Amino acid sequence: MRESVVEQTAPHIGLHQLRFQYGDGTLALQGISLTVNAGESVALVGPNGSGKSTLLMHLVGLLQGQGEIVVAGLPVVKTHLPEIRRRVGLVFQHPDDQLFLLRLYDDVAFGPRNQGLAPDDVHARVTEALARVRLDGYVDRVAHHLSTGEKKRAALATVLAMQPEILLLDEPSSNLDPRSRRDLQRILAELPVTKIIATHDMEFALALCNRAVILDAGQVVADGPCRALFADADLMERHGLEVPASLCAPACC
Amino acid sequence: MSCLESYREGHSFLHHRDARVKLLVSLALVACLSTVGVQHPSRLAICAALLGVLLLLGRLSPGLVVRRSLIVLPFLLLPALSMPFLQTTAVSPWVMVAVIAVKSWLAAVALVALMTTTRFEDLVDGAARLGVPRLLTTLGSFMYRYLFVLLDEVRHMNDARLLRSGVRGALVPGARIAGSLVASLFVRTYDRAERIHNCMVVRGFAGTMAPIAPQRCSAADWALLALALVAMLGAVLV
Repeated sequence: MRESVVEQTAPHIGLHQLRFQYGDGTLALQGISLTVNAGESVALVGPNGSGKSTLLMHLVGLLQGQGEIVVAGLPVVKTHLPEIRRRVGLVFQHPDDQLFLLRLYDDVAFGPRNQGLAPDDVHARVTEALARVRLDGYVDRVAHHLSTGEKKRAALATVLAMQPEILLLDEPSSNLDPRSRRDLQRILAELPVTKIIATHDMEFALALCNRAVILDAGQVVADGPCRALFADADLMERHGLEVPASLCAPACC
Repeated sequence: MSCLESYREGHSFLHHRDARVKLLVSLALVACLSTVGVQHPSRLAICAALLGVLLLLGRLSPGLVVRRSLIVLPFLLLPALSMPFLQTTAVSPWVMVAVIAVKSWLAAVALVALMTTTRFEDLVDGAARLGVPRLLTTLGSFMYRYLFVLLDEVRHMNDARLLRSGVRGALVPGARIAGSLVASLFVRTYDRAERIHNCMVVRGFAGTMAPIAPQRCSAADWALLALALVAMLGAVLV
């Protein structure tokens, strides 16, 4: 994995007053302002429809709302999108969407090939990415023969092969059994990149992130250390979340 | 859904041959069979012999090949039904039906041999390397990839319908529900297509697929191609 080129103190992601409304009139983001420093792991939590996925899609220019967004030192505008998408990897919620080619090798090689790398470099990237997600030897497997856990890890490999500085993950632990979830958690913990993890899985967030941002109805309602926020039962209850079992006093479980 | 996956894992001579060679030989054999007339049973025999050699090289079970090749039977019904009304002077209409049936069946066997010994992804790669436009091969691979996902969705939707409606209903309400399922599937497919496009775009897709790496054929590939072409040339000239 390439070392981050941004100094540890410089904001890696900056959002200022981001607003976005879908075509059907739903106001998905209502003036989001947020800063994420290089190397940080941030959990983006909130109830369904709070705007987590919408926010992630703005960071790679898939959606364009009003307000300012700077990612890896570049304003998110059309001319910068190829460079931003080279430096930011987004792992979508449904691995079947992410794995669209027949052979796993080709799927993982898709990004590096689009970056114009030579075949030997592409091969090296694919080998390294599959090794990182513990799928060595799966190069010739087809996506519909993989388990959900393997698909999730394969989807992560498709992004890691592009050697991103920033990793955005949308519900990475959804539909995973405990072992697959643990495996994925271990893999993500080893990645030395800036991470934003949108999730409902509070234990997963707690294990991987120091900081949490709580979104509700398209607004940032809390931003602070994971443990402090997740242990606040009133705050969690108010925003459709719950205190993770590991932070629960025996009486509340 | 295993019926969609015709490839059978194996380590035969035919399994290891380049997909381009197998594709060329199979298509040439189908073309050759289609040109064989009723008056030339020896040509048919040469094609059948070549096919026999391919089946042996692929170590394919006769039962499997026969079972899969019977898919042509419904398509033979139309010529069979129309034959009694045709006026032919040279041969009996029933002989013509028999020859058409044999030719169609042999063509189906050739394709079964190809599909059983070649992975679909290799077939698509082979077609691209033979010069088939990347757009077509990419669409083909997407269709095959998502056929499994869509069939899964259809199965889930149908299960949900059955659980709430009990047994199968009357024809008209059944058709109405089926129509709703198809419409719902269409909307879901459209949504999925958008999501897949997003996944491609964020990984640098700018409208064209990266070129496919060249690959050399082995001596055994060339030998198989030469053998097949000589046999088919013989069938045409005899």
